[in-house]
Amino acid sequence: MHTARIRNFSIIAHIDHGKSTLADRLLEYTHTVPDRRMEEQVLDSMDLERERGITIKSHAIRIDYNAKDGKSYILNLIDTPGHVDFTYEVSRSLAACEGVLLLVDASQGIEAQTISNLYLALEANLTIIPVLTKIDLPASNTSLVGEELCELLDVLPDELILTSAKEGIGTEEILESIISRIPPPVADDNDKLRALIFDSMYNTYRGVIIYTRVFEGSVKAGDIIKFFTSGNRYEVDEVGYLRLDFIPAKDLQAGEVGYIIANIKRIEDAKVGDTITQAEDPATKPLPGYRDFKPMVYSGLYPTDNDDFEDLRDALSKLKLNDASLFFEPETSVALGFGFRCGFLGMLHLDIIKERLSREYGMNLIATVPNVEYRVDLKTGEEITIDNPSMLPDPVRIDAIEEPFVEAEIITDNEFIGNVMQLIMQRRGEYKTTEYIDPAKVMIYFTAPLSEIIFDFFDKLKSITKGYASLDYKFTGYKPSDLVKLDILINDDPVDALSSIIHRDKSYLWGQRLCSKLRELIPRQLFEVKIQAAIGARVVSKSKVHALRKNVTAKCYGGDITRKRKLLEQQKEGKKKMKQVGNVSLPQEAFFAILEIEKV
Amino acid sequence: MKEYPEKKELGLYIHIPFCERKCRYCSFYSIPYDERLVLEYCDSIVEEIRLHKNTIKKYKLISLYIGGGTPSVIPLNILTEFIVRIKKNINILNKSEFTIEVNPNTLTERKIKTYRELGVNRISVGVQSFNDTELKFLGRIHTASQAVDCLKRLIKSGIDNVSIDLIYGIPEQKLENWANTIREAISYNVKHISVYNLSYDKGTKLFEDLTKNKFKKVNFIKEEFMFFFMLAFFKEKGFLHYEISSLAKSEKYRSKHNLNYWQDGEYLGFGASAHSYLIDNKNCHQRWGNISNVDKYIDRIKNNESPKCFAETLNNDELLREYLMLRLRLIEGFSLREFDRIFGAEIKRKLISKLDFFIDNCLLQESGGMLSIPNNRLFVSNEIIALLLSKL
Ligand SMILES: Nc1nc2c(ncn2[C@@H]2O[C@H](COP(=O)(O)OP(=O)(O)O)[C@@H](O)[C@H]2O)c(=O)[nH]1
Ligand code: SF4
Ligand SMILES: [Mg+2]
Repeated sequence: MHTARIRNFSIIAHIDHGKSTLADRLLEYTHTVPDRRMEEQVLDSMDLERERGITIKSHAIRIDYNAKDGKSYILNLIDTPGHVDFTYEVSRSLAACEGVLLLVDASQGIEAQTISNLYLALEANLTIIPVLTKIDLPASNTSLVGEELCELLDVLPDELILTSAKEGIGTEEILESIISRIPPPVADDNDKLRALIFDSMYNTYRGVIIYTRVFEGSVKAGDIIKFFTSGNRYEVDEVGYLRLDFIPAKDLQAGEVGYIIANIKRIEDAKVGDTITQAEDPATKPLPGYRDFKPMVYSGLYPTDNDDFEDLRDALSKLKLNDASLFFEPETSVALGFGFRCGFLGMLHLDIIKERLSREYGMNLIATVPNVEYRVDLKTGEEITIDNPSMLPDPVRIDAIEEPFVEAEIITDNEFIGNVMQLIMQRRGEYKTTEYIDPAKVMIYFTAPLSEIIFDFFDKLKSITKGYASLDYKFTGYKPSDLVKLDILINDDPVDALSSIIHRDKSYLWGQRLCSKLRELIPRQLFEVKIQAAIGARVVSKSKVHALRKNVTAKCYGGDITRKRKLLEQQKEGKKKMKQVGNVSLPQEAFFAILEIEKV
Repeated sequence: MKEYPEKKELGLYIHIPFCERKCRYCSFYSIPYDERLVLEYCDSIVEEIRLHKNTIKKYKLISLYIGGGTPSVIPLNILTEFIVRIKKNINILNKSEFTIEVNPNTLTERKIKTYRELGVNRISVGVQSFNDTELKFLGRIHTASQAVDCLKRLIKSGIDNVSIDLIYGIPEQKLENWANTIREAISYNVKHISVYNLSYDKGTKLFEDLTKNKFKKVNFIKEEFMFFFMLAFFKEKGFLHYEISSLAKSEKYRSKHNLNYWQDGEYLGFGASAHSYLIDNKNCHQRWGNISNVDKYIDRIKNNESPKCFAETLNNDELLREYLMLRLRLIEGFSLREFDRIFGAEIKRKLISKLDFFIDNCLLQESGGMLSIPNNRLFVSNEIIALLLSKL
């Protein structure tokens, strides 16, 4: 019966539309966070999240709210990331909720992730409360965007809530509508325990902390629980609610959101999406699991100094503790030595992992050109998958190469349709249809190879639409393409880590551009550096970096050694960031050169 | 970190930051000559030396170097009194190297004589070039013929150990002019030559003019050629190339004062912008530098405040960096044995394990237990040192 006073909800929105800021207002209004601990985007706890102003991981927090009807309610808020790379995290959080606030920035209107998140919410059968935010902005167009939103959701204008998280307008209305519109969880304490793991984190002192939503039954300290997929059993140490800190509680009952600590040592043992039940009196069936996720982008991570290989393994394992979507396994490169092939959700994810490795673990790293995963049909009838271009077999053995394709949609102003169409074509895309959201705004559907979309497509898109475009895509399957491997030779030796798989029609041009790009990126050094691009045995382009002729301190007397040492330290640090390949030092940028070249 | 063998030797440096006029390329701390200020300044230096008297006593002084600026602008009576007062505080041995830096145009016969009487036994002349166009470009106050006169005077005076400075890589400097300058340089029986590549330091007039495109830099290929041509020439004439930019007529004419810098020796510097390096009895390696402002320097000394503007205690990494940076400037390099003794077996093993790459690629050479940069790679020595450090 108590579940009548519980609401589990999430806020979904396109990136930067104001989720975290709105969450701040809700927490402030309900005094959930003590004033002295209130800061902007209080739920974004990672340094990187704060710095970049984006949410990377989901966060959950419990809010006590005294409603106008005189009763007090428990609201469990789950803040979700908005970037397309992290769609997966959104779907995990939604499974723990009964409703969502669909937030739209009144100055930006509906954008691609608004649509894709809405899609996820509908799929999970959640109640949707449309909210227009940032109405304080002079550029906001409340009536037009409001109309669009109402049309999209088939709701009446009075169901739309207008807010400004900046000025605190509409906060109460949101809280009230959460209570009146989102249904309480349907749950029965007397049923057998079924609790969903929707997130987890690793804590050095306490082990794995599970974020869970109890659907049926209840769980308390001392219970022996069991995980459906692994079958592993654990004794529960502590259960409780999520505030900014962990607040222990007597038990967690059906409908509630909270945490469980059960002396679990490895995060792999508490798989997100798994169902928890009582070991002695188990439920018969698990809750529906999550969509499976697969890495979309692969890149090799190598320490610039081979001696740091084990350190890198440690660092990756630690990151993985809190990031189930990170994949890695050891690999060897002729050029780079020992490293790891890593799989990421997208380029932002890759970027974040790289940055955390360097900041939090002090690693000097080389990341190789990111690539997607290919399927290769061999003449023998065998099929293999390849997540590293240098592993592509000899062309004579290959029957066909298949690459991943996506369905994508772009929302933009109709004046840019021409530009966008041209870009889609250049990226081997196949146009499907266009829908008008309003007279000025269109949604363009197309399919394209993932490799053409995932790297720099969005940057390009923004530049040809003056920033007025959003993009969303999802993986649909593999299709054959006419692909070849482009190799780069440095001083006549192929550098496996610089190989890429590209479409045959583009190979010649890209080879040339890649060569000249590499010439810009590779600094002059002690030896001449010869650069060649080749497809098979055919060299398609050549260039070279002349040897450095001078780097010497003209005069070194007078006792001012400190300044000269510091100059040398800078030079040394610069070198540390480079990877020695043969007698050539290659900077990190060289490995990403292919992303930098003009693609048409 | 293992202990250094107790080094009882110490070098002293005194900075005289006064010049008749600022040269266009100069990034040293120097200001126009001002007699009232000079008097006060000399007083302050004597005071600063007095403060370190007890420390200095624990060492054997191997060198005293009065540099600048242009120490020779100081009138003889003031200088004489200055040196006499210094000598009251410290014990300069006869065989210590005692150098003073002079500008060719201010060095009279009387000055030379007085310097000798004061104990100076080495004179370093800022010749820079024997070409008037180049001297003018550099903004030097003297002419080529003044330099020649000065050197002739020095020969006559009987001062044996004369050193000159030369600069190459001056915009529009022709190869034949450089050849003339180095040929001229050895016609005056100088015992030591320091050869510098013109550098464009931020804050100098030269740098500013470069950014305004008033002239074009000499390209690296030509500079490299000038450097190696100079080396070949002087070596042919019997000079010993012992440090990247220094040559001496024989071992005994190597600059003791500068060798001390390069060989991790201890030194104390006095005066504005002077630097010091001491290893204290806890084996902590301390560096510090004085404030680069004559007025403030004088004020601080007067008020019994420290004239330091920075001080640091070197950690092992920094020591290693300095060691390689300085030792590899020496043509003989450093001994692996000594390296082992100073930095310990573990880091030595690491060095050895990375050595193949450097030796195979002719970036370093090993002979008789000494590791050094091959001659033909000296012009990229910083690149090599930085690369080596990045692997340690
Ligand atoms: N003017 C105005 N700015 C807002 C409002 N809500 C959020 N913002 C700003 O919009 C930006 C993105 O907000 P954030 O909460 O990080 O968005 P998220 O990516 O959806 O979490 C930040 O600079 C906020 O300060 C609002 O109601 N009015
Ligand atoms: S004489 Fe020497 S210290 Fe004085 S300005 Fe010229 S270069 Fe600088
Ligand atoms: Mg956010």
